[in-house]
Amino acid sequence: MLTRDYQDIIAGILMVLMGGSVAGWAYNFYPLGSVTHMGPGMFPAALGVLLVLIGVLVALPAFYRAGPAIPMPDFRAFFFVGLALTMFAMTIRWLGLVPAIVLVTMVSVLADNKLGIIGSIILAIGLSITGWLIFSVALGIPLQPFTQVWENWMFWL
Amino acid sequence: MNYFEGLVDNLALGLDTALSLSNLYYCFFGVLLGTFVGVLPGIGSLVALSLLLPITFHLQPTEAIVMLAGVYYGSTYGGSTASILLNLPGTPSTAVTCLDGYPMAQKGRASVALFMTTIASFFGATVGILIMTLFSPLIVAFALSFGPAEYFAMMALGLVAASSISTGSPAKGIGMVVIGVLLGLVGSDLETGQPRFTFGIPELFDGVPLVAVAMGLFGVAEVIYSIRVVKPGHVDPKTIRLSAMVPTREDWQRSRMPLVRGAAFGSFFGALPGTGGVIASFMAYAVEKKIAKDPTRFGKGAIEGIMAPESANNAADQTAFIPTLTLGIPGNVVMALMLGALTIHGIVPGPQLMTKEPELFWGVLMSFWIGNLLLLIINIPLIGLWVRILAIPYHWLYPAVLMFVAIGVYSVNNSPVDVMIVMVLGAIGYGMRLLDMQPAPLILGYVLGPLMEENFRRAMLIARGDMLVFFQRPISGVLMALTFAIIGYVLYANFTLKRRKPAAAAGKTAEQPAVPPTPTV
Repeated sequence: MLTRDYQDIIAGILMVLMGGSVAGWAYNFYPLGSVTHMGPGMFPAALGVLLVLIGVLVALPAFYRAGPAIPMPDFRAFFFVGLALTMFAMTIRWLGLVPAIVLVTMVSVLADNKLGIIGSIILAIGLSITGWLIFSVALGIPLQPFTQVWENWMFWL
Repeated sequence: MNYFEGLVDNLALGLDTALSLSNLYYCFFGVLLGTFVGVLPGIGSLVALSLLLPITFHLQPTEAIVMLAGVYYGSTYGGSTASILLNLPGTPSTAVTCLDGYPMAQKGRASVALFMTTIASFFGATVGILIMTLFSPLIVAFALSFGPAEYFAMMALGLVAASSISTGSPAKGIGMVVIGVLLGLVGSDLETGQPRFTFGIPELFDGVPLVAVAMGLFGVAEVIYSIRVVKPGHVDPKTIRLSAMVPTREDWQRSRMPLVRGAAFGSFFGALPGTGGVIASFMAYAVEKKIAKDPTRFGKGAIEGIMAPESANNAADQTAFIPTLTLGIPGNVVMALMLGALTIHGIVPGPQLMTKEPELFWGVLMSFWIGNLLLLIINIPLIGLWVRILAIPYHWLYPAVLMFVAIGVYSVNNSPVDVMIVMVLGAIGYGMRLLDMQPAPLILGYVLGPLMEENFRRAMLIARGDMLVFFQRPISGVLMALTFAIIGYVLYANFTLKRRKPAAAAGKTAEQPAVPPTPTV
C-alpha cells in the first residue's frame, strides 16, 4: 500500500491533459457553430471540458487516500508480444501466411520462455495448420500459405 | 389477438432461419468456443469475441450474431465448470458459484454440482428467452415513438449506469466512457464531412476501426498482462464421472424455488443497462442466503447457492439482448461489440431492426434455444473433455491468441498497417491496465459516441437549441432524472471511497472486475 492512490492520481492527470488538448484542438481548428446548428467542433469541445472535470474528480480525492502500488510493467512480455506482431506485419505479404505464423509463435513464446524449443516448434506447426485451415479453407480468405519472394518483390516495395 | 398471431408467425420465421444449415453450424461453433473459453484459464468471452470480430466481416449478419451470441452465453456455462472445480471463476458472472460450488467439489460432489449448474443454466436461459420473446415486440412498439431527445437520454443513462455500477471507481469509469466517445468521434463529421482528429492520416477518415480497438485493448493488452499472472488449474479427470452426476431427491427439492427466483433476478437485471449477470448472480445468492431456514449451510456446499446464481446469470445473458436488439442500446461491453458487428454490416440498430430485418431478429432469438440445447449436450456428456482442457497452461494459449489477432486484423483490409495499429493500441491498453483504467466502458462509449452526438445535434436542431428539451419530454425527463441520480451517487461515492481493492491481482480474465461492489455475501 502507498500513502496516496497514485494509480488514480496519474489516471486523473492523464484525463485532464487529454480533455484539455481535445477541447483546445476542437475549439481552435473546427467550427463550433451555435447550439441550434452545432458545428463539428461543439460536441468534442464540450466533451473535452467534461473530461477535464472528471479528471479532477478522479485525481483530487486520490491525494487523500491510500492506494495500491502500481504494478511493475512486464517489459519482457511487452517487448516480445510487440515484436511478434511487428514480425507478422512485415512478413505476411513478403513470405506468406505460414512463415508469418511461425514467426509470431517463435517470437511470442520468448515472452515468458516456459515453452522449450521443441514445444515451440510443435506449437508453430500446429498453429500454422490451424490458421491456414480456419482462415484460408473454412472462411475462404485469400491468404497464400507461401508466397515466392522473387515474384512479389515489387509488391513489397 | 393480433399480437399473438404475429408472434407465432415471427417465431416460425425465426425457427426457419435458425435451422438453416449455416446458422446451425455457426451456432454450434459459437457455443462450443464459448464453453471452451469459459473453461479455459486466461481467456474470457470478451477476448474471444474480439478475436471473432474480424471473422464476422466474412459472414452474413445473422450468422455473425448467432455465433457471437453463442460464445457469450456458452462462456457462462463453461465458466461455472472452472468455478466449481478450481474455485476460480471462468467468467465474472460465475464468480459467486465458487462460494458453494467449490465446497461441493471438495466433498466429492463435483459431478452433481456440474450437472445441476448446467440444468440451472438451461432453466435460467429458457426463462430469459421467453421473456425476450414476449416483451421485445411491446418494447419496439413503444420505442417507435421515441425522438432524438429520448435516444440521447437513453444512451446517456446506459453509459452512465454501465460505467459507474459495474466498475471499481465510478468517476474513473465515466471518464473512460468519455475517452471512448472521443475516440468514436475520430473521422469525418457525419453532417459536414469535416475530418476530426485525423491528423492528416487518410486511414483515419472512416474512424478508428472497431476491430482494432477491441483487439488491441482486449486481445493484445490482455495477453501482455496475463502472461505472468495466469496459472493453469489441475483437476484429476477421474473424479468427474457421468454416473456420479445423478442428484439426490433432496437436491432437486432444494433447487426448485432457487431456480425460479434466480431466473427472475437474472431476467430483470439482465435487461437493465449496467447491471447484468454479475450483479444478478450476487443478488440471487444473497437473497437465497437471507431467506434460507439455515443460512449456515451456505458457503459449505449448499446446492441452493449454486442453483440460484447460475439460473440468474444465464437468464441475464439472454435478456441483455432485449435493449440491444430492440432499442439499439447496449447494456454492457459484450452487447456493444454485438452492435459493432451489426454496424459493420451496415445494419442500423434500433427499434426498426425488428421490422426491417425480421429474419435477423427472430432467427437470432430462436438460435438461443438451439444453442442452449446444444450446450446441455456439450456440458453434460462431454464434461470429461472440459476437465482436461482446464489444465492447458497459458503459455500454450497466448501465442494462438496473438496469431488470431494478427491474421484477423490483417484479413479485414489486407493491410499490415492495421496490425501495427493494433499493436500500438495494445501497448496503450497495457498502460491503462497498469493504471487500473478499465477498457470495457471505453468500448461502450466508443460504440455509442457517434450515435449520441448525432441524436444530440438533431434534438438541438428540433428544439432550437433549448437544452431543457431533455427534461420537458416525459420519457427523456425520467431517463435524465435517473442519469443525474446516478451522477449524484458517483459524486458522493467519489469523495467517500476510502480505498479500492488492488487491481484484480489473481484475475482470470479481462472483464473480471475486482469483486463487484454489490451485496456482501
